Amino acid sequence: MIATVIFFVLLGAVLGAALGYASQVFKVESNPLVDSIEAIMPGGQCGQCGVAGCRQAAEAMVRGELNPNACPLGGQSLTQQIADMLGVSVSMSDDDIEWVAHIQEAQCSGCGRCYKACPFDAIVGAAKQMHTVISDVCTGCKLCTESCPQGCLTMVQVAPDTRTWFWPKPQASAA
Amino acid sequence: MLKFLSRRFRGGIHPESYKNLTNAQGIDQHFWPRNVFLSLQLRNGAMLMPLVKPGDTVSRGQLVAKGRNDMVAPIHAPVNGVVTGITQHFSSHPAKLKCDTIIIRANGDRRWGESHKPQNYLSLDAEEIIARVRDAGIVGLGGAGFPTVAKIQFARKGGAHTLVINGGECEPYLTCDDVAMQQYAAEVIAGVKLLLKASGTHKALIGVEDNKPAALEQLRLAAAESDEIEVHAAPSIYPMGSERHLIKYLTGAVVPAGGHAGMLGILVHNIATARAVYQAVRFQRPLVSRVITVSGKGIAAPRNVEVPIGTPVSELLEYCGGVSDSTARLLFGGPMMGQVISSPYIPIDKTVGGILALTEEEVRPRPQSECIRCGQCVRACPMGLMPFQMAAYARLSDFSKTEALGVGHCLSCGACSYVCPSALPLVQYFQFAKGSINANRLKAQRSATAKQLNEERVQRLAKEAEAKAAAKAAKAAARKRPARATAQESES
Repeated sequence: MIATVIFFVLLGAVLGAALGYASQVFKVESNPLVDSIEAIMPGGQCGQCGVAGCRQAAEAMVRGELNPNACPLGGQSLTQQIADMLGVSVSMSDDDIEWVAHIQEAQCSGCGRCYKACPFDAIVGAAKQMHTVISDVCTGCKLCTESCPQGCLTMVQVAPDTRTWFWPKPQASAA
Repeated sequence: MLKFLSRRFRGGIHPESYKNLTNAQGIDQHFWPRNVFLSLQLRNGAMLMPLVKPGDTVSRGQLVAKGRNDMVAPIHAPVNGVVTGITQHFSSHPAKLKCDTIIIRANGDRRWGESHKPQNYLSLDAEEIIARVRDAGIVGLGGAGFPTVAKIQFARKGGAHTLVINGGECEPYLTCDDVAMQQYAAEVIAGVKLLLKASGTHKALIGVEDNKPAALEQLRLAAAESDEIEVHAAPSIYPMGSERHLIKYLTGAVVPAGGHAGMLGILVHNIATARAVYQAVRFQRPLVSRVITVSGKGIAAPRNVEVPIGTPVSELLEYCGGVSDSTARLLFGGPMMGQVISSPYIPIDKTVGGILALTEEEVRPRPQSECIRCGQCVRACPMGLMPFQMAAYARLSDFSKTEALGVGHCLSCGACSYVCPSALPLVQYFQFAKGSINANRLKAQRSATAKQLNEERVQRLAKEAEAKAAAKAAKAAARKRPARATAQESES
């Protein structure tokens, strides 16, 4: 028993050291611009921008294949930051709709699939217990929508609240 | 004269005042509502917890909801009556937002629920005064609604030396502070003395504009025997009621941009707040009503009314003779900075100082045209900003440039819109820009939190997987051990 444990621990240590060494020696130089864009992205790998994940999206944006406003989670502030980094101008739409997941708790069976789907830990619950969404944390990435077998998880539009509501832009002059 | 010139702030305007509609009649004390609606969410989003339930009988002055800390002032029942429900109802927010609201059906009984023995309130020490102000739920009645107790405590901690009492009521139409000073000058001065003691300041400067001679006279009479209180007449320039401009005029000191009066060792309170402090300390009466100016040419009988907090706008308008058919707009506050009332069922809160019904003739919408770069807005801006340039960037939603030009320092006083010959909605652009910048900041914060949560989750999942794999390996090893042991034996 002890010999086995020692063997596995040693094996792990040796392999880990080998991997660590390899990552130093065979390090791939990456574009620092891609790194800095990836750093400000939400990192949920939700794929709503049309590419596989946040890293890939950052690469596509740097290559100029993806619009800086492609990330619906980041919204206007992220778009502006990315556009500033890339030195491009983007047209801002003033009405970006925000979504938040909502669970009809009465119908929740407690299967926990939505919890597993959420990359941000915004869904809480335990096995065979009711689950719910922490709406302050939910980014509206929609990754959980397909996961619910009861069909009780839907996306709803965020209702304006006193902290986030502000006066709309005045109408441009008619003359 | 030179001293006078050096103390006057730059910018400002002289709008027509229309104060004579209401400034000579005194305060109407006879209004009593049928129902009051007490919002459990403040305008800044802070929530309160209700302490009563539907069906409860409440008495005037009873505590009905409290916040989590001193930054959220508690709410007391403004009337005697029965709680008929706690449901979603319009708050006084301009966007018609709804929030949980305690609804109380009032009976005609106007007595206070609890009366306290009279005592010498001047012998109370600072701590006792602060405790009574806290329990009374007093907030700044000038409009910002910041809890008074928090302000006093910051001033004590920061070692403030001067108390400035803001009697500047520069908005046209509004006269609620003017008549309160005329009628209750002694109470205001007593409140100022209590504030001096509570905050540890040594000197009080009361600033009142010179278009309120009666109020000035009454205050001077009441303060004649107090050496530590000075009453000053300030020129009637809009926005003299802004605290940084009044401080500049009274003391010559400039509040740093982006800073607050506390940095100069100055504590500012409104005169109505001083009176509320007096009521709270002497009689232990919480803040459950305030004086409101109901005016404008659309009102049949304009006047100042003492109104219980939570009264819906419709009941108050009805009491003042209703609104005429030519009324084009209803406003909370004055015509310069006021907010449109989107529904007559909205209740008034502690920060509302006026309700105006403006007629077509007073609203006078002008056709908008292009900016002609005349620079009048720059001359009018009391903060030294460039409104036309900021508005140009706000129109393009280029908020980083708008912010760089200082939109964050804008008071939203509306002086620029008032003077603009092209009738550009300048201040509206700044409201929009400030709101957007704030919303973007919140969103960036949320994004950062989401990213952190995601990283933590990835690490946690990796750890869980590792632990699972290790457990599995150990189990497998334990199961296979006898077999391997025999195999080794046979090999050797």
